[in-house]
Formats: sequence, C-alpha cells, structure tokens
Amino acid sequence: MLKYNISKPQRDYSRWRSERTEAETELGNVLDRIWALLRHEVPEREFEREFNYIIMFILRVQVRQNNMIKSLCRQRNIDYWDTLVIRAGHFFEHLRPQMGDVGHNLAKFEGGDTHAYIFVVFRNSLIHCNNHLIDELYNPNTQSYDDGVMGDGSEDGGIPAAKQPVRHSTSNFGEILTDLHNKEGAKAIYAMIKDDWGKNKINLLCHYYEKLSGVKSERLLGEKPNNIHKHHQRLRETMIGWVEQGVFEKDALKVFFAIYMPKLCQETEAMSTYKQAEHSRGENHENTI
Amino acid sequence: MKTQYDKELFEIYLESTRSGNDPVTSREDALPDSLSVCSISIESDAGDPVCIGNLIGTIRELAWEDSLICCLVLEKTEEESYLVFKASQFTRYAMPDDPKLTGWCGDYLVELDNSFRLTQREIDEAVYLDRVDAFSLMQLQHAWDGFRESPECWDIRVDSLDDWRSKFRIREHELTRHFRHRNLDGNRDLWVPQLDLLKPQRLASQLPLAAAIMPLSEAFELLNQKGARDIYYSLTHTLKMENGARVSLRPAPECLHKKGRVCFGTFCVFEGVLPAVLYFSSGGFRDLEALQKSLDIRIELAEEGEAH
Repeated sequence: MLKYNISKPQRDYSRWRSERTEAETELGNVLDRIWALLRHEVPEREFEREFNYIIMFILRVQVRQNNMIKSLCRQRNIDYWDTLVIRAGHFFEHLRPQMGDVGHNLAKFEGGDTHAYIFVVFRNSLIHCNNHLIDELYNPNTQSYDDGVMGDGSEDGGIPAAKQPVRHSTSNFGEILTDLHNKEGAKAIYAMIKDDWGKNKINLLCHYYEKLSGVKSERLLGEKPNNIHKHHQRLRETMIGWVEQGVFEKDALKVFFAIYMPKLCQETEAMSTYKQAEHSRGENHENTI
Repeated sequence: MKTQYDKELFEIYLESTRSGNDPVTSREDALPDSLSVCSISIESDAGDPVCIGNLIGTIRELAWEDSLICCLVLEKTEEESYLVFKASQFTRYAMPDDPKLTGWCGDYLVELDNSFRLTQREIDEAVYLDRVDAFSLMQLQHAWDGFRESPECWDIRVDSLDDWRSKFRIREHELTRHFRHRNLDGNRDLWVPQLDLLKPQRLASQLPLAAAIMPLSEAFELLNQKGARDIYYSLTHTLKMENGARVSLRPAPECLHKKGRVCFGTFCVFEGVLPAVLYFSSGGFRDLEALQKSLDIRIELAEEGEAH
C-alpha cells in the first residue's frame, strides 16, 4: 500500500484552500488579495493566511515551469512544498519595494485591464523565482542539493536519502542592498569621493546620477551636450575601472549609488559649468577623470 | 534526460514570449470582466521617490501582435523617443559578453545587438516589470559605448546555429524585428543569423547550401576569394558590395514598396513594405555570387490583398 508523506506546508495550504469559496479562488480575487498584501493593507494577524494567495498564484501560473520544478524536486529528493513557500517569500520580497513604481505606471496605463496589468507584473517576479530555483536544482554542481542525493548517478537520483532542506538563494537588488559587506564598501566609496574628489568631479557625478534618475538637473547647464557626454563617458570609465582593477566591488558600487548618491547630491552645490566647479573646489586633489 | 530538460527549458522560454497562453486568457481562471479595475488602489506610497516615474532603467513588457517583448529603456534620444534594448529573464542563454543587469526581481540579460526605439506612448503602454539599479545602467552605457565602437570585439557569437543560445537569439531578434525595421536607415543593417550570429570561421561549415555545392575547403576559399564579383543581379533584387564590410540589397522595381519578406535561407530577416535599399554585413564574403548561392537570399512578396 502506498503511503503519502504530506509535509506541513502542504497540509496548511490544503486546509486553507478547502475553506475558500469559489469566488475567493477566482484569479481576479487572488490578484486583489496579493496586491493588498504587497501594499500592507492586510492586518498582521491575517498576513499568514492571506499569504496562501501567493502560493495559489504560483500553483496556477507558469504551470510548465512549475511542473519542471516538481520533477526536479522529485529527482533530487527535495520537498516541493518547501520550494513553494520559499518562492512565495521571494515573490513578496521582490515586489514589495516596487509597489510605488508599479502603482505609478499602472495609474498612467490608459484603457487597459488593471488585473491583466498586475498579472503581468506578478508573472515576471514568478518567472525569476522559478528560473532561479530551476538553475539551482538543474545544475549538478550546486552544492546545496547534492549531498547524499545523487548517490549512484542514475537519472532518478539513486536511492533517496532523507528529504533535503531547501536552501534557495536569490540574486537581486534587494539582497545586494541589505548585505553588510556591500554597505561597508559603499561607505568606503563615499568617504573616498568626499576626501579625494574635487567639487567639479562630484558635481559631474551628481549630474550623471540625476540624469539616470530622471531628475531635472540644475547642474552643468552652461556646458555643451557634447562636452557633458564626453565627461560622462570618462566618469564611467573611471568607476568601471575600479571594478575591473579590484579597487571596489561591483555590488558595493550599486549600494553606493542607491544609498549615498542622493546624500552626496544634496551636499553638493549645483554648478553650471565644469570649469566653474573646478575653480571653486576646496581641496587640490586629483581632478582628472 | 538533460536534453529533454534543455528542450523543456527552451519551451518555457518560448511560452513566455507568446501572448494568449496565460491563465488570464486561456484557462478556466480567466478574469471575469466585472472584476476589472475594482478593489485595487493605485496611489504610489513606497519605493525610492527619486526613481518613481523615471522611465530610464525600467524593464517593460511590450505586447506586439501575438508576442510579448521584454525590454530595457536606456536613454531618451530625442523628444518622444527612447533607446531600448531587448532584455530577458532567461539569463541561461546569455553569451559571454552580454551584460547582465540586476533588478529587484533578479538578473536580466541585455542584448547589445538588439536595440530599437520606442515612443513615449509605446513605453507608457508597455507594462512596468522591474527597475535596474543606477550602477548597472552605468555599466550598460559603458558597454554600449564599447559595442558601438568595435562590435567585433564582443563575444556574442556562436559556433553553431543549432544550439539553444542561437535559437534563443534568433527568436529574440524575431520578436523585435518590427521595431528594429521601422527605424532602418543607411546606418542600420539587417540582422542576419548566418552573418551576425555565427562565428565567421564557422560560416562555411554551417551553410547547408554551400556544403551541398562544394567541399568545405572550397567553401572557405570562396569566402576569401579576391577579385570576385561585387555586384550580383537576380530577378527580385540586386546585391552590391558597398565597402569591404557591407552589402546593399535593392529590391527590383516590381517589388518596391510592396509588402514582402527578405529571407536568407530558412531565416526571414525583414518583413514589411520593401524600401528602395536595405543593408547587411558581408560577413567576410567577397564574392556576391557565392554569398547569394550560399545563403539563398530571396524576396517573397506577400499574397495579393495583403499588399499595401
């Protein structure tokens, strides 16, 4: 007789699912509930229960990708339901910081279906979560899943060991931002720029940053576009050179731009030309980009 | 087993580029009309206020006919026009020198050889998916500067047109064909898989037609033949060597301004109203007859009634 091992996440979800009405499980409602979760419109005590709507979304969308994950989990003796909970967590973490952007763009979206719009946004996050997990499960060199699982090298993964814990990691901007090592690196970049760069160079960097951020810059208004373009080009060469030469790490620079550039631009007076800024710089440091 | 998974992975990618196969439209989960625009409140309340509303650095999904095009907005080029690159969440198909940029949801591969322009309106109509960070944008601009200066230095070519990365790249260019071609001018070449994707040294061995007519050694010689024909006439078009690296294709008068396709072997590289002249890279060919025969260049006019 076959014995089914039902894991806790599966049990919890099944119980929750059986209590839902048909209307509650309609995709439009699922999208609304996830939207509310992401906007923190759900009371804390209901958060865990409502979180199941994300699992429901994962089970319904990108079915082919999900089936592949199921099959890979079986092969590698990994609890598929654990991956669902972890993917739901990552889905939430990826989208939460973007809700302002999504809301802004959705408001500008004319004549379309709001549900269809957020469906596409949610699906993108899910594709990423699924892709990342597939890459981890599929890559035979991934250490986190290998131990004791692929014993005899057969296609079915040999004799199954005990179910493996899922150690699903992601590579995304949110994680880069919260990494302590990156934060320290970013702080060092900020300190170095404040100490070593002249005001003209910082003014230029701020102009470049404001341009990337879509902010109407008051800097370098007296410069010809061609000159600005060349200055920006040299600025890029300098900063990317730091990464190539191992002076600073790429992720530290990402954090520097996200955290310290707004601060640096606030601290740096806007100057209309590169030369004007050069004359007024405080310290006589290396000034060529 | 691995091959089976590779095939399945590619199918998953292909599915993500087709509209109409998601639950919104195709399954029992279809959204009832009455639920549209209902309980969703859409005021902005979170995220970096500096960035919100900024189009630069956003990843978007553009719907075009039955395709979904994931792209990244790099910069505003002129009033109401933006430089956009084809992007993809499927980074496993990246070439060694393809930039990989980080977004909130994960990494995106960006294709330097697959850029086009979109209007403000088109960008507003495309769904916002994600945003890449400012340093990633700086890296992309740096890469774009380098690519424009010397594209041949970028390792974005393959050994065979049959591997998954090639199939991916070809599909990606198919998706953007309409947008790349509407901005065709004297500076922009058609993208031809045999000439722009395949490593030049692999060309002779990969062309079935060339292999069928001549032994490989001869095919290689043909590629490098000197004093060869620099103009070639056919019933539907004329090929002319413009300089060492570029070839012009001029449709015959009876094809001009009609709707049709330009095909290189099995690949359609242009579809639409045929202009007076199109350009493509010579791919090292010096003899246009050899080029024509090896690549089987054809113009196929659209059926009566489809013509503009």
